[in-house]
Amino acid sequence: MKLARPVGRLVDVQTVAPLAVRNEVLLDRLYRSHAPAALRFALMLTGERELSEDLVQEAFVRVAAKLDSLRQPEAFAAYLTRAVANLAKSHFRHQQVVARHERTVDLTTLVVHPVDVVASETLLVALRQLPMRQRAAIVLRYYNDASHEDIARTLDIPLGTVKSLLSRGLAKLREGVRDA
Amino acid sequence: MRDALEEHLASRLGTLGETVGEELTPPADLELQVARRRHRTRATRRWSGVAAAAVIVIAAATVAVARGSSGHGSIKVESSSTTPATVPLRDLLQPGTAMLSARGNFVVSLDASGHTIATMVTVSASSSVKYARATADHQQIWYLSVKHGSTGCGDVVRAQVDGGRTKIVAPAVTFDVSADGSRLALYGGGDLARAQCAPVRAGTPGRIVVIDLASSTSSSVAMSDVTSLRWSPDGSALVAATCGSFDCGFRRIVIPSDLAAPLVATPGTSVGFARVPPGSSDRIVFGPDGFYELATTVTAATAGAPASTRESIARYDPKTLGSPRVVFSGGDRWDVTQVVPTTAATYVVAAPAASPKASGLYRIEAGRLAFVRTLDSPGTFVPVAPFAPNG
Repeated sequence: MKLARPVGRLVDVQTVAPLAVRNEVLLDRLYRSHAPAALRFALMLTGERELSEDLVQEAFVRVAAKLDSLRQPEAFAAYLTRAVANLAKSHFRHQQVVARHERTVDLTTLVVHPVDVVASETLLVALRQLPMRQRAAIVLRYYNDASHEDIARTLDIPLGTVKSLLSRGLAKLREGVRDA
Repeated sequence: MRDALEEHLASRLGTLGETVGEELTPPADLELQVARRRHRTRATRRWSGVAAAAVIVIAAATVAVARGSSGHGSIKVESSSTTPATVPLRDLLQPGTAMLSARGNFVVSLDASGHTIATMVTVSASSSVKYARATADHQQIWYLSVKHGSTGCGDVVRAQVDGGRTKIVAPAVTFDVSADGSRLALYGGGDLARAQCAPVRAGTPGRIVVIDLASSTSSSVAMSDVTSLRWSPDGSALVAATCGSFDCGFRRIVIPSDLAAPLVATPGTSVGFARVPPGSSDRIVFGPDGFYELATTVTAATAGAPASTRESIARYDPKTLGSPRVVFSGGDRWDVTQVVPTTAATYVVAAPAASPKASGLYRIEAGRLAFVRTLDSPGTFVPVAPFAPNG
């Protein structure tokens, strides 16, 4: 299953959403439906499995807590994806602040960590050196096959910004691969 | 139309995506976490409607309370939960909590598989939590919060798990609280019993002060180079890890019931360990079946070989701190940085010597390490004892 694509699951979520926060079984079902895709997305953003699991769990709790007040509960997957991207961005920003205060921290460990076998590949290393919004847009485009409009909706940014993020992100990837 | 790089990117991301299964098991307390978050969100919304002046007044009052303004000058706080003794205590930590980890400005609880269950404490982003432990009744978490850049004293803070109220109890360089939450052990320079802490300078001994929180009586002993303190589970003794210029080890201090007499420290039979900074809390720890020491043996460089260090974990009798028995030896294959003995298993934070950045949580099984999970930022792990309503 890839992020936010299977229409059947979105319909499923729409049906259970109003009850989910009051019913453990339904909350459980919501988690099982959406957490794996969110974890894939987080893993591609961070490259770190443990961190990704923590981000997804936190993001899920945040979005599920607001389920009753979401304007479009049927778009739970998109809200979850956006929350993961925002949390990942906050996490790395915090890490950079900490790193500035603790000079012994090796900045390269913030973007590259030997967690999975493919993470050391030049292309994926270059991906994880992109700014978080570019990274998120690229992953949504090339892993989830999301359209520009879907990416704009998911990340809550203007369409023009999506095109700009993708264009600049790809340019940096080409540069990164060429320099390697 | 995609070019070669875009196709390659899509392909590699697809491969990476396949490393995640189709099914993820929700955390056991998912509903509880969501309920807590909803409660917090609602409370935030409610408060956002209050006038700015009222918010300022409340914030000022909150800061005054949190800073424990009346507490400076003397240390006297209630020793346990505010719940009346007639009401049976319930376990306030999430089911399955096996350990706490102080990471950056957070304290998180983890289960026996090393997964985060909940964030228990969040301190200011300008501070770090160096050590945290829960009381045996699981009603309080005590932690040491140190401002970034500070090399001296931090704040020893008591947080009520139910309701999240916190109070700065005392300043100290390092500390530990007894399992029943009735006694506090502080280390530092200055008059710690009157909440005045100064950094311990090289060449001048600091003091370990033990304070009975209900009566405010205290007793102390001078000691140099203390890096961490640990109460025995029954509160009858305190163990201080010390690390001087030449050697490291631990000392045992028998704690009398009335704290009238000065404390006396006796050297332990430590194997010894490498120098660690003050506040480090991961070298000595009481577990469910004994006292554990993560010892480091340093081999001096010779003409043919560079200097090397080897870690081993020894378990001692918890009463006498004698009869050490090595339960794990890292040899030249493992760099071990922490030992976390829990009722579920004895864990270590370790990395293969060949790839020191690949730090992970491992379980000791028959003298060998069994992988549990990778750790990006391990923090400082502390075992959580099983819920004991009577402390």
